[in-house]
Amino acid sequence: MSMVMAPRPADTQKRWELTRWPIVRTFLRQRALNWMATTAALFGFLLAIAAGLLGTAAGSANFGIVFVWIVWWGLFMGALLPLGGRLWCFICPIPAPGEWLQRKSLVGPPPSGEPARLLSIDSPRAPQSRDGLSEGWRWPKSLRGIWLQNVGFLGVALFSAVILTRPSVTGWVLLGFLAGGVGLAVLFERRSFCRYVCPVGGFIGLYSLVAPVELRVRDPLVCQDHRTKDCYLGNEAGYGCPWLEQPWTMDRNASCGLCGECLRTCTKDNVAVNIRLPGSDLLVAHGWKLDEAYKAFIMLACAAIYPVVFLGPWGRLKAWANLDSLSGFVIYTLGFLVLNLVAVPALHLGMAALTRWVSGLQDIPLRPLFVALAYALVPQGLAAWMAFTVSLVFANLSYALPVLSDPFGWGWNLLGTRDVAWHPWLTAWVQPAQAALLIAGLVASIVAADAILRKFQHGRAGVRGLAVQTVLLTAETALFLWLYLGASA
Amino acid sequence: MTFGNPLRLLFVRPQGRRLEYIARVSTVGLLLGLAAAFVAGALGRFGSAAQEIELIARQPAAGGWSRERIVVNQGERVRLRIRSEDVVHGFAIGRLGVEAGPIEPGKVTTVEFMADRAGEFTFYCTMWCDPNHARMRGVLEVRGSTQTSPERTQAASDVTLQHLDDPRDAGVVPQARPSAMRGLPLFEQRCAACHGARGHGTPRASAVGHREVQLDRSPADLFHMLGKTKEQQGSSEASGHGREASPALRELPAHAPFSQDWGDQQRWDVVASLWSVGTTAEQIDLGHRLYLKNCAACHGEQGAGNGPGGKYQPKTPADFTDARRMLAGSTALYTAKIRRGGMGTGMPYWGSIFTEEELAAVVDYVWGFSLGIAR
Repeated sequence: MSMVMAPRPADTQKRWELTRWPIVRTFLRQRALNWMATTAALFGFLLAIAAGLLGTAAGSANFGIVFVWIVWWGLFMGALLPLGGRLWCFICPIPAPGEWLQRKSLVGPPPSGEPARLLSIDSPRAPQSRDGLSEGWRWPKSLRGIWLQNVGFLGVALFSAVILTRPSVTGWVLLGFLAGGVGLAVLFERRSFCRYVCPVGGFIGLYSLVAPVELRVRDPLVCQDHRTKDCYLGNEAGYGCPWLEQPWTMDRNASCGLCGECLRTCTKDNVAVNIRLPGSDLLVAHGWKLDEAYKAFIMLACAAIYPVVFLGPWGRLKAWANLDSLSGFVIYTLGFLVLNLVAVPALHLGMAALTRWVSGLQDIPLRPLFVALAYALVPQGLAAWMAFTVSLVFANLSYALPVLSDPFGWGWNLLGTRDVAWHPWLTAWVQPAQAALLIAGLVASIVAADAILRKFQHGRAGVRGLAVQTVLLTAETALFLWLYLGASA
Repeated sequence: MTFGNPLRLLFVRPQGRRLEYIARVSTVGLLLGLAAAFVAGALGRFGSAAQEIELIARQPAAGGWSRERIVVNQGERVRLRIRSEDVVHGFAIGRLGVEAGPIEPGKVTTVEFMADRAGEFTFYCTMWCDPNHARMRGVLEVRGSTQTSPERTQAASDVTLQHLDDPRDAGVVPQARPSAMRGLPLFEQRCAACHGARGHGTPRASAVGHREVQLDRSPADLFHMLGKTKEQQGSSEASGHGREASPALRELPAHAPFSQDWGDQQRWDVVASLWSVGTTAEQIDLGHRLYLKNCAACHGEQGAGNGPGGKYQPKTPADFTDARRMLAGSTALYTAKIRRGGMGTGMPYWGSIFTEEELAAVVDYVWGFSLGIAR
């Protein structure tokens, strides 16, 4: 592979550049920014682990449960992800200690005068690992993509009824994430953990495709003429892209952690943070991959399973998911895996085949159409997860105040809020908000399906294909509406 | 990979990198602060003068109380912060009079008391929360030099205790529920002259209105005694109803001459009046409150053994309105059964929770279902 790679072609999409303002650019280039964000988050993360492992077993009184699964999840799913894409990855404390070890530095920048830029992009070791506490191995090619993340997410989701309700389990899971982040950072280059392993990172990447924020090079032609590729290799101003992205080819949000290193290292001042139309990354055809398509199916299936298990009236199912009995959990596991890995993908495969047939696209192989149409599920899936989050957060957020004063449930009253009583918030708005989110998700998904199908077919035949997809998406939204407004009401 | 000296990484100021140095010191300070706060909190430095104890209530199927045993020192002020993880529970400590009321999910209920008596006390859930609600108990151990032994003001005879689980049959039952209100005038008319207006006894005849006197005797014994002739004195048959006389009845004197013109129902009414003068309105009120809180879920509000919790028990709860069975038992027998529990029936033991006064009050209240005791 050549050091100089083809830059992405300039597109015509409308953008509003945030970094055109010097104050924003200067702010985002501050080296201390990442350290401050991750250290603050690490403080909360360690507190959550300690509370989970050592605090009260009552989830509603334990910082680990309340702040991870209610406060963080609400903030993450309600704002950070839909509005900021991978903004959480910028804050996330899990890879921070590993990255500090890799760099032997909390803030950096790398010591000056070292020949980082002379190393090839294909070097067996990452350039920035030459001095850090890491072996700097390349991630195995066979494990690239997000299949591992799909498996990890399925594992977490399968045990979520146990994890979300038992502080000690939450504590161990968070500790496992931290250990995984540090362990892989010591062995592998840069943020291999975030890019290829983190169970949360996979769906953040997928859903960040619809976020209205992006980091891109301003003019790809400038990069074409720039030989040193500081944004990837690093220089005195900062480190090479921790996410192993090559900004000059980047045209999707999926693997950009918004860390801002390229903003600092670009000597051509050619990197920008933009506001753009949400969802435009869904149409980047060369990004359509089966692993991401499966992630879309898994997220959609889990978005249906979660309200059934956590909000629905089906006690036996809850008991199975809660590991009340081994036989029940085995049944639940089989159902969970079949729904995620077989039933939902098979349904969409069938509908993709029908779409192909009614659209007269028989000359196109089924697989690319099947994979492409899975991206139309991204807005719908995100909306369904946001609807679930509305139920979870409004009902439980008031637990946060007493837990702030008494994170371990040991009777402390640090802020005088220990005895604030639980009360659900904005109960009258929960269902209207859920309905609005689900319908907005449906509309966005139909629009996305239309745009995706236009990449294959135009005219009346394309409309017939869109009709098939519209029926499928509408039926799925109707199911979600029933789950939130009917069965759980 | 070279690790070098980790301490050097943390504490040696990197040359020309002030920001890095500040970041290292702040990060280490923050993490040490977190650890210090944790240790300080764990050592109780954030605590108050009272010993504060967190207690979590869960349905017995989910583990019950988070602590089965709470240990405090005598003379300590104890503050319990109780919260429910699932349904509404209740909390009380038997024999200490400590009660927290309903423990609603999501709320912290605080109850504070002085642990001034050493000994072991049972704390328990006072709301029917689960089919196994009665198992939701724990022990508060108050450590001190002067152990309190449970008071026992009354004791059943060995005979009664040996026959605690024997089948009981009064042999004859009243046509209608006996009425102390009807029986009291009859008692005053025929019995008060010898036994006193309230049955407290005179030089001519013994006391009959005292609880202690009634302790080992069943209402059926007294009923048969009222019909007992001199010829039946010492006989093994009871007052012509074909029922074998109990040991208690054999000792009782013949009373047929005083009640020969009374029908069976009038004799039962007089018996009810005797049980009535053996208690007080306050005692019945206390028994009523305790019964509703602790017994009604299984035995039913009207004592018919049809409470909603009863269907979950291994045996159908006792029907206190079943006069044939109830009127053959004695106060001592029922007190002992409540104290001990039902032994495999699902009925919990209450001996470590109720005081003797509370036990007596519950028994007196329960008599009302079959005897119509007046307040």
